[in-house]
Amino acid sequence: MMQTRVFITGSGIISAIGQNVDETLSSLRACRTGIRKIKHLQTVHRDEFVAGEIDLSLDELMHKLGVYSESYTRGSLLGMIAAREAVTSAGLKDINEARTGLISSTSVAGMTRTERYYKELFENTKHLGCIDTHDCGDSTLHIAADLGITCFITTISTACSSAANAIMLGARMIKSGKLDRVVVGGTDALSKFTLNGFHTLMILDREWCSPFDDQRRGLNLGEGAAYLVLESEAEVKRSGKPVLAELRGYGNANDAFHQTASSPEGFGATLAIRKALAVAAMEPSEVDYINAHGTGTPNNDLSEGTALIKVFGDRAPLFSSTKAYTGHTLAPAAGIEAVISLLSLKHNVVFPNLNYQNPMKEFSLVPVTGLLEGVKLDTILSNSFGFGGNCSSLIFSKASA
Amino acid sequence: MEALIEKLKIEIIQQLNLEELTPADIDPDATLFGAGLGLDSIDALELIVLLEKNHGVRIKDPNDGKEVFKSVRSMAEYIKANGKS
Amino acid sequence: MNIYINGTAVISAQNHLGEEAFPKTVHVPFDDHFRAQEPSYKEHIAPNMIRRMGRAIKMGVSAALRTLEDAGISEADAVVCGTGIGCFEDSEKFLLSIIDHQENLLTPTAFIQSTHNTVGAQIALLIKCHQYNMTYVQRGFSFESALLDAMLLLAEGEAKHVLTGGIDELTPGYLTLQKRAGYIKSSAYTGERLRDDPTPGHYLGEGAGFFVLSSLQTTATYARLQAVTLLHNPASLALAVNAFLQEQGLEPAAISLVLTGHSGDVRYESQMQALQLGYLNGCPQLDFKQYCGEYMTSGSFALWLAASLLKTNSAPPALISSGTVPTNIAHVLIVNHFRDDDYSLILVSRC
Repeated sequence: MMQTRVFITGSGIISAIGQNVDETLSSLRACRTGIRKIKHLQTVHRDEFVAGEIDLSLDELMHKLGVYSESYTRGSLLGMIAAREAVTSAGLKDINEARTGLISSTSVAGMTRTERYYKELFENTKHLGCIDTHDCGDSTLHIAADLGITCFITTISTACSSAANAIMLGARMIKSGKLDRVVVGGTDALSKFTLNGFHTLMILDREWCSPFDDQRRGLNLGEGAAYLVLESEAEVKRSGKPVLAELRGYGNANDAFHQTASSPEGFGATLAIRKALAVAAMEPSEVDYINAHGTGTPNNDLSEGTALIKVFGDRAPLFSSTKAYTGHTLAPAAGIEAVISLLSLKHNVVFPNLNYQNPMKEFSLVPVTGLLEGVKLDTILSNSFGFGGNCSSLIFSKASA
Repeated sequence: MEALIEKLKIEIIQQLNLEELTPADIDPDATLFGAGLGLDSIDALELIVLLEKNHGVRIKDPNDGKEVFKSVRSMAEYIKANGKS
Repeated sequence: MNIYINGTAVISAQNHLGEEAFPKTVHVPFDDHFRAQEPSYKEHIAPNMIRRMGRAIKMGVSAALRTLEDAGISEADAVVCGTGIGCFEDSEKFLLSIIDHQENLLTPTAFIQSTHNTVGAQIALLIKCHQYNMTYVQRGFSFESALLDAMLLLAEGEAKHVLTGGIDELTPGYLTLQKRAGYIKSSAYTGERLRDDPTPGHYLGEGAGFFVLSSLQTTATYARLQAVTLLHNPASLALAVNAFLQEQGLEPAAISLVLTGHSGDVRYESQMQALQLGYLNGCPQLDFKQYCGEYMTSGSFALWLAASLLKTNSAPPALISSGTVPTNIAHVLIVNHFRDDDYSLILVSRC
């Protein structure tokens, strides 16, 4: 049986650098970071750490969507904004005219609400609704209800690689003929839980993060949501719509080294990239640009760089991390970087790795540090690695159906 | 010094959930990490907080911890040299 | 293609070890929840790792490692987990420390272990599995999503042996909150039939159930996993079951036993009751939540039970809730639901 190709027909995004795809492109082109002083999150660390926070309050997010209920957590609202944009941009008018699924992802889930009221939950009934919005499945159900999707709904949580795995599962569901179309991505809001959690690991940079720099000190957290619409070849031909790109490859591997740290030899990352290349039936030399995971922690960037050398040898393609624009958004990071990769493909532009100054001692890899317009880009690799050794890579190519 | 060492042993067992161990099992001069007690980088972060919380001693860079956390004795010496208690 | 269950292990409120293991003896909790009977973890997990693990992680990792032993293999080609609420104990612990210490002088262990993919990650670490690793977190679909993915991996030829399972834990805090939200019955469970319960609320349960799913049949094989489907708010459960069985070329009469996921909460049982009294009325039925309680991944207990009954080709009469005790078990259908929203159907057949 000839396997179908999987096309991307829509995308939606909200992060600290823009509330939709167009705003995101403008910020990226202007090399404008969204990482700044924390404004909306109620935390004692407000003046200590910067973050890629979206400058909208909970009320403003609800107003933007025209929904008003305490049952929407910040993560649900961010997810609904990005998912709506993705579905609209794909021109899906009747969501159930084909078998359409939703595969979302989150790591923080409803914690943003639970952490505000947790003690109160045991004392009074005012915020008892938190109990129903705490789990990871909650935001997905809100997004599905908002879009009218009922055919297939699930949520993935593999830490910082979550959205990559949602995109991967979506492609596999289409290839296996179980779905015709699927909305895939992830959402996470900034929370005290994660800010303090990463702080205890001593991997937060108090200044702007500087991925792949020898003097890098750690990551900045961010928040956001991003979704893609994937469609089967048959579905795209039937509707005759234009496609944004083709999802050529995907790979999922586990570093199996440590609960939080990546192996210095980048074992899991190397395997994930090689698997993605194998699915795409591509040679490493066919990759034109890599959107790296590049969190800015000493550990990740060394491990990832080592993996790149293992796969690409001394001829590594252009690469950069865009974490210094958005902050590390955790579960949706791979979705956000997929949307950014699609913008790179469409406009033949590579967005630079901000704040980079000093080459790393361990190898000679140097990221792109200035905006590159008019680059011939046909194929992009995007990496996402997470706690628990979860490593995933995706490959996007220019395409027409 | 010896009293501090004994106190530290109890704190370490408690903080790191080393249920299998009693203070007598810990040699104050044995290495805490790797071959000795078999602690790892997460334990190091736990110990950094332990020092600050219980002894008012702050280690800013986790890399500095390597020397401090060589053994229970080196921890005690570090507290004596830098701490309030 | 055929997919086989080649190994399984479960941790639940029942005793699963030794001569008197369930279903030979049935444990009734006489409490408002079904707390798991935890095995000794030391045989399978090093003390240095156990000391950091919350109960969900210990239960999951232990069940997973026992499952591999049961299948007679030491490694898997993929690890796929499902959990509704994840490592709740660690989440609570870190959250409380944030609140109690005003975000100061916190330690990382609870945060690290609270991540939803911790069970899958620790399994990978322990068996050195560098391959596909995934965690699903969709309430009543968490375990069933993992099953679907595992089956897809086998169909793709990506794996020959997939280690897959479901895990959920209950904590005192979680139980209290579920009670405050009105989800838990106010009385203790004393062994009554859940399907007849006229009151709201369920009995909270917990546990871990793991499986080695393989494309190859072995001497360890329990049963064949034929089909799994997820139904989000189905208009008619009976129609959906009918379509599901038709797809497998089966009539209701061919089903030897239905494992029914009656939760005992009268508010959410109308579809299940219609199915039980209507379309599947002629089939022997077994209400499995009387043995494990209600939790988001209770389907993993049901699948363990189905596999076990198929392997021995017998069903203890005491467990049967309605219909005649089957003498020959060929096909077991699991019909499960979580709060009348997430319905799932699993068909398991004798090899």
